[in-house]
Amino acid sequence: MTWVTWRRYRTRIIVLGLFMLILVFFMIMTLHGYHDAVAKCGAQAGMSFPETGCARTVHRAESHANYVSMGIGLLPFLVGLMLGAPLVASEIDARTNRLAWSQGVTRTRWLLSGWLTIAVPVVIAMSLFGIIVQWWASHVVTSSAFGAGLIQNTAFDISGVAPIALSVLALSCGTFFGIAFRRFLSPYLGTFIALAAIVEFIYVKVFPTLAPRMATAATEYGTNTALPSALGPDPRYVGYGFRRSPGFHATTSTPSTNWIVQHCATTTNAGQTLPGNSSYMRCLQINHVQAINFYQPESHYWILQWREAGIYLVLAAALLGLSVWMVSRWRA
Amino acid sequence: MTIALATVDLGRRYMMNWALRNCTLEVPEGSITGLVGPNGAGKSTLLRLAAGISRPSEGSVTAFGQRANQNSTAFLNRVGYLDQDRPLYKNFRVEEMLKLGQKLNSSWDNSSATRWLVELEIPLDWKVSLLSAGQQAQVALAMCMGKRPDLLLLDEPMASLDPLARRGVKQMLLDSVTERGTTVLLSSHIVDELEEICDHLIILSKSTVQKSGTVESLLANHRVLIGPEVSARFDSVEVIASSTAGRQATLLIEGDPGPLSSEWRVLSPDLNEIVLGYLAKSSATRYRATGVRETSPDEERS
Repeated sequence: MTWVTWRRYRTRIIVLGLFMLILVFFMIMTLHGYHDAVAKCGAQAGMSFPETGCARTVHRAESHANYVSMGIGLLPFLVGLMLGAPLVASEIDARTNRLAWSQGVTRTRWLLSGWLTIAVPVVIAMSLFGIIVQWWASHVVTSSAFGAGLIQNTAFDISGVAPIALSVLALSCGTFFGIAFRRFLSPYLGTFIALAAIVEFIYVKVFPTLAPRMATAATEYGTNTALPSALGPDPRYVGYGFRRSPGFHATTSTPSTNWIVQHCATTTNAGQTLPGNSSYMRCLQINHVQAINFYQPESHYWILQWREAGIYLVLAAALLGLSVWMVSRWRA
Repeated sequence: MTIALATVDLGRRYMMNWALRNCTLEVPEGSITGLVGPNGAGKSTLLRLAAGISRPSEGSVTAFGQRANQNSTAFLNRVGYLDQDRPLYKNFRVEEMLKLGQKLNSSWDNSSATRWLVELEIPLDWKVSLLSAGQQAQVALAMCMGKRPDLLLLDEPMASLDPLARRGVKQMLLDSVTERGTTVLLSSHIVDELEEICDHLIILSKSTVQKSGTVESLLANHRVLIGPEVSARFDSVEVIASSTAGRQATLLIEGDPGPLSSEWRVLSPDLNEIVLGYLAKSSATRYRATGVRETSPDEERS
């Protein structure tokens, strides 16, 4: 079975491998270019305004690094589209499932062996690739003019163990959506939409609370005058909220925090409830409400990575289980 | 007589339409059984159900006493299935297709599958996509035979083969039955072809089994009667189909009509006439052919 799957997917696996090698090449090039630019102009040159020749050089190096980051971020999606989606869907389309399912292996074994034959090299390749990405990200992304750490959005999404787990999820996602909605939607489009939706949901709804977040009072326009030292350098902003001012004791007649926030946003024409202009913030202060910002400190990097990876792997297992169930009941 | 394949009230529905219904039949072990019927009769559905590729909407299907089950290796190892679309991995070489068979089947006979294709001069190092339709059919058949199954389910195996290749396939099936006691159930539109190799026949039409039995008994139990239309009434036998041309009636009957008046002639039908008679019986459509009006017994009685 391993040979059969390898024979069917070897071209696609080789293409993905080549894509990884190209990315490694560009990682080396951008690292070299970025170090040259910083050595010539200094990292802070990228922040100068109006843009000088040096700033342009640093910006160009940064934007090149960004393109490489986007390419790295695409990898799990490519795994889902090139390897996951066709795993069952292409067999059903070409009706070769009727050939495969009339051989001497059960459908369950057929699917699980095929999935594992792809998943194992994907995990190995993504792990090796991840080591290079980790090294590259810690040299380029984290030493950029913006002083971002590995926990910041771009670096976090492409480094660590989460992208490896996301590739496994992409494989399961492609397998499942290739079967489940193939009558209504292209397996490729279905996989892409589903994967993008899962990633976005994790990013917006799950990530901020994946590890205990730290809160600090916000001032005008949502900024913090001085971040507490407990947050460490370059914590990642993960959202905002409101709470009663310290020392204030609410009674039964005190309006709720949400009411005050809405009231202040309306009366000061703030337009939204985001920590913002001074009159809005003053209104909150008068009413004993404090705007707060939430952060995930850099020290939470590995906790967040492992927990996000865990969620991806649980989802991957669930989708694979559903795929096995659907294939075993499939009426050809 | 041991039964290799048995179905009881087997039915398969696609949305609101029944592709097969109330299908009860038995295929004896070691027999070559022909499955004949018009397009859409349910032949492919029956074969897919028997192979466990498809699941019944009602009833049951068993092979060697075991329910058709795709999650049983024991069942899969005993049953070989050739789909009418001849699905093959088009980007595989022929030898790789055989290797696939070897990897996925514990009882794979690589030497005979390879020999079969070499004898047909099919280049083993060619990609499947480069082969002609007939050659692809031969590769698909080799995949099926190489598995050395006890029950072979072949959906139109002769389609797209040239006469020489057809003869070769027929011989291969006969050899397999003789040497290994393989049971074969094959569908075809061409009755003459089935008559040459089949010892049993199942006539399928309108999603139901119209008639089944040994070829010998079918030929022995049916008669063609030709005589005057005015006296074409027989109560002791079943009239399968009838046609009239002028004042002359031609009837296909099952059973012994007994002594007849001298104006009636009794002929022995060939298998083709029997099959066509049953297909006409089940058909709701009436068709005309150069002055001959085909009628069903129902219409005749009214």
